[in-house]
Amino acid sequence: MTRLVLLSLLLGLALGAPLRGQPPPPADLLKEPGYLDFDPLGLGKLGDSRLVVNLYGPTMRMMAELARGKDESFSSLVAKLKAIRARLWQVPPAEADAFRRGLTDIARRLERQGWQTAVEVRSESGELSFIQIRTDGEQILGLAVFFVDTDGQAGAINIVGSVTPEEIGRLGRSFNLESLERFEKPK
Amino acid sequence: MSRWVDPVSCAAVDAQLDAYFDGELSELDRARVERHVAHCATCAETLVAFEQLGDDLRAAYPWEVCPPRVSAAVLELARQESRETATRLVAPPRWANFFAGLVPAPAWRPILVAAAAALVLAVPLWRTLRGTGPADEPGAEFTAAELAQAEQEARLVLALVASIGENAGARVREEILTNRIVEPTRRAFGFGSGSATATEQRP
Repeated sequence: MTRLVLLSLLLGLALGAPLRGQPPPPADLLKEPGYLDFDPLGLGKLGDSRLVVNLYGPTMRMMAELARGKDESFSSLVAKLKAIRARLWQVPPAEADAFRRGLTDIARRLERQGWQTAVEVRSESGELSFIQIRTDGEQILGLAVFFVDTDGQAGAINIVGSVTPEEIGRLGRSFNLESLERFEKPK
Repeated sequence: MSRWVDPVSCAAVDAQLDAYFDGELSELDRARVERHVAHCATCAETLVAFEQLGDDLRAAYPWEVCPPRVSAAVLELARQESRETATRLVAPPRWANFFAGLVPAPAWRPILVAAAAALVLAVPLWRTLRGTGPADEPGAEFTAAELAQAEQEARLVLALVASIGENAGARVREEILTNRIVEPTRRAFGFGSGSATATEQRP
C-alpha cells in the first residue's frame, strides 16, 4: 500500500510543469554501463506510460546543491548519481499477465547483457519484482527495477551511478515511509 | 670573465607566463622561465604584475566556497575556449597575426585577464543574487518550481525503489524462514503444518 501511495504522489507530480529547460541526455551518460536505454527494451510495446521521470546532468547537480545543508543524506546520494529515470504504467487486469511476461523477458535479456538479478520476487497474488544491478568489481554502476503489483501499477526504474541498495534503503527510511501508513486504511 | 647569455627569448617566456603562473609548465620549462626571469627585469615585472593581480582579486572578493554549479559553468566556458583555441591552432586564420600585432601582450594581458575574471565571476554572482529566475546551469534553464518538482520526483522514485527493496527483502526472508527453517523444524519434530503452535501440539 505504501507503494500505491508513492505512485499516486508521483503521478500527481506528473501533472505539474515538466523540466522545459533540461537539455537532452549527454552522450557520455548514454555510454554509462549503468544506463539502461528503455526504448530498445520494447517497453513502449507494453503500453503508454502514465509517467516518465528523466533526471540527469545539471538537474541532478542542482538538486544535490540545493539540498546541501538541508538534507545531507539526500544531497550526498544524489551527488553520486548520474541519472534517475522511471516509467510507470497502470496495467488493466486483462493485460497484467502479458505485462508480467514482458517485464520478465526484459529482465532475462538484461541478465544476458551483464546485469545481475539481485532479487526476483513472484507472489501467488501476481506481484512481480526484479531488482537488477550492473557492477564493475565491487562497485555498483547502476540499478534497474521492474515491478508489477497487485493493484495493476507497474514500473521500470533505472538509477545510474555508484549507489548501493542500502543507501537507497536508508534514504527511503529517512523519507519516512511509515508516515504514509495513515493512507493505508482510509476511514 | 664570463657573461650569462640567456638562450630563451623574452617572447618565448612571455608566451609561457600564463602557464607558469598557473603551475602548468613542465619542470624543465618552469626552470627555463625562472632562470630567464631572474635576469630579465621586464619579464620579472610582468610576473609581479600577474601575482599582484591575483592578490588584488583575492582581496577584492570575499572568500567563499564556490558552488558546484558555478564551477561547472566556469569549466564549461574553459572547455569551449579550449575547443576554440584548438580549432584556431589547427587552422589559424590569415588575419590572426594582424590582430596579435595590435595587442601588445605584456602591457594589456593583466587588464584582459582581470576583465575576463570579472566577467566569469559576475555572471553566476548576478544569477545567484537574482534568485528567482532560471537556474544557472550550462545548457539548462530551470525555474524554482521545476526544480522543486524534480526534487520531489527524485525523492519519490528513490522511496519507491526503497519500498520495493524492503518488500522484496521481507518476502525473501519469509521464504527462507518458512522453507528452510520453519518447515524443516516442523517436519523434524513431527509437528503438523496447520496453524496450531508447537506448544499446543506437545503432549
